[in-house]
Amino acid sequence: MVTRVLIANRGEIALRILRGCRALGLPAVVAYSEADRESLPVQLADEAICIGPADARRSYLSAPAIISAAIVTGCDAIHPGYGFLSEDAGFADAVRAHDLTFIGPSAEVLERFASKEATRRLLGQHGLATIPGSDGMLRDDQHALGEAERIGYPVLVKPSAGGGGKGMRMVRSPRELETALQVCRSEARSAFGDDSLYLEKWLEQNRHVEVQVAVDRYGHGVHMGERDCSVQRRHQKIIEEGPTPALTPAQRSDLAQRAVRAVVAAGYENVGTLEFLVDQDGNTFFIEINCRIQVEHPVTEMLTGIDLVATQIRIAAGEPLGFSQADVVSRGHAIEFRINAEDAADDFRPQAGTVERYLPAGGPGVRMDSHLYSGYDVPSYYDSLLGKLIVWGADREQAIARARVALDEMVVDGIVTNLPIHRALLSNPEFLEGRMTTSLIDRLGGSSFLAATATASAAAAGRRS
Amino acid sequence: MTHDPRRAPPADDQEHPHQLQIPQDPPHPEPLRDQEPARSRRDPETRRRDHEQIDRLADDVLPDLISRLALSGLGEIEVREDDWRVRLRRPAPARGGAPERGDRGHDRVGDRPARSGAPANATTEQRPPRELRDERDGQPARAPSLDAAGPGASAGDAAAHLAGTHHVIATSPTVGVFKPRPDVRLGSRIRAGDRVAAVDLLGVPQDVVAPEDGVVVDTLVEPGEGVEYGQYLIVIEVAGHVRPGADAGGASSAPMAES
Repeated sequence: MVTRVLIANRGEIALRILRGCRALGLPAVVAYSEADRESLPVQLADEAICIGPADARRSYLSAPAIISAAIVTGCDAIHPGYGFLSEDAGFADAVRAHDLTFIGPSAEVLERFASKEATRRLLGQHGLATIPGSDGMLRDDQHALGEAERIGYPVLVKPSAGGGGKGMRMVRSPRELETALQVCRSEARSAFGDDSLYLEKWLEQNRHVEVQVAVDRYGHGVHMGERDCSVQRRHQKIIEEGPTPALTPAQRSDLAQRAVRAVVAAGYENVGTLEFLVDQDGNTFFIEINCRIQVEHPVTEMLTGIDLVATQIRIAAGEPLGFSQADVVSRGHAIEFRINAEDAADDFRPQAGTVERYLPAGGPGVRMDSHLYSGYDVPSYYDSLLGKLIVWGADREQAIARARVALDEMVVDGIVTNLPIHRALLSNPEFLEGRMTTSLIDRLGGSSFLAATATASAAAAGRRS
Repeated sequence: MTHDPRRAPPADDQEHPHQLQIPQDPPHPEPLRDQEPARSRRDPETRRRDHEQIDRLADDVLPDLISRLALSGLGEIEVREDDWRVRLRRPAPARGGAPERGDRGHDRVGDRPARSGAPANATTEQRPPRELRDERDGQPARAPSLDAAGPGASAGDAAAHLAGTHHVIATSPTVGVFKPRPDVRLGSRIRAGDRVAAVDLLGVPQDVVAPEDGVVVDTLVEPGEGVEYGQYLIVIEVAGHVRPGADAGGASSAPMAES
């Protein structure tokens, strides 16, 4: 039973979870750091409790503070959101040890899927093709060089823990590899406290497609279709959409079915996402699983009408899924744009400051998930995500047309955002024709793209004034 | 590190960047620094190193240890490094049994009884009032003052000092259950840095520290009440011997006026 939820996260996802709880009739308490005292989720929550200072290590990453907050506010469940402690098996275990429900997979399941390398092997045994990679973790530089030679350059150096592109480098030669190993190890150590690395074959011109699944405790699982997350900047997703333009309907359905079969067989539980790389010929390779709600989950919600946060809470409470694959119907096309506080003209440096004016977009098929309000101070301690614009259309063309209107309408003044990048992408032929690959933005990162950006934003500004 | 065999090892916080290294075989376990007879004989260099060590222990090691102890079922954790030793001990349950779960019938902060029967007189060896430091710049935070406008306002408000007596507040170092100290009552005279109460974080008491010398004039929460990080707990009246404009955070060694 879940009757009262502590939300142990911040920003737009804390707000999204709060709304999900409300829709289920569950009161929710927001746990916040001192830096988030004035944030929207704190203002809107049924109750809010300060758990520590701005430094996430002593607030959003402090398992005892979060569990203690749940106990003193009378909550019986904790929703970790994404990032922070969301996939930490030790945290999930500690939550359970205090008779609280962790809204996510059990500690055992998180443990089983904690290592990316072990997960590749596990799901490989259950019928998912994986990218050729190193034999286990890299023991030392010599081992790395040998394995890279065997796999064939270019290869991708990846950390076993974490995500978000940290500790990840593509290299084309042994010399680049030796340098990358040092950099990646130190990045991975400081970001995840774990510097174990492995290698993966780098696929040129690859696309990133992921399958959303939900599995209850009784082994009943469904997929909710896929999302294409090929528009990335240095391995960080910027635009996500579904269905993917990269695969035919038959290929998409085959991939999703294989994915859900594999995770059910491997004993997965709760909502999760399987990420795949798709090569030029439409071959799919499993890369990793995310055992949490994802930033881009609204794409699937817009397509299927399913509330993923509610599904997650119900599964964690021990309820059966309550619907079958036949009940999951995907309609139309949805695209999500991540609005980040970062300056494209200054190497995408994260920005902090006061939002002087905020006007969200609206209209048919338009959804805005954001914790912004006019006068809000964006703190400098956390990630740069300000919100997400999600648009739905009967087909991709209509979705893009609505996105154009929405992005032009939207105003975030006082802080530099990546809105101009999104506006520019909507006139990029590769994106418009659905041919984008993961290298699109980094390739366009030069002056021509920024010039296009400037033109697009000037045009948008002209329309607004 | 003493393991209680009944429970699994403490939850591993792999995600924490400053993970604590616990040496299996301490190189110089003895003698302990605090057992050395004459501290004053330390040369300035040793002194500086010791202070650096203490800062590091308080900033990095202790929060990590408290986290481990609170999440684990362990009774005690000890870490040795070079010739330093830090030991955290969880107080014994009041009546021997396992910690009792609080009643879930209520849903307001404060309605919750303490989870464990931890008596308030047990200590962690957490010393300095680290929680009173401002995280942003590492400078000692000013003690909150009732006389000033609020938590963000300057406690060193010149007018307040000129007027003589002013008030400062000891705040909660964490989120948990408020535990007063039996020896600290209304009218108790306390010194800056004194432990005036504790907040129980999953059974591990965290010290509430007096920001200045003074006299306890009010307690703002009831025993057993749930409190949040930074919450105002105990009001301390400070006698007006501070120079106008002086930093309220710097403890005055002037004698206390009779209140």
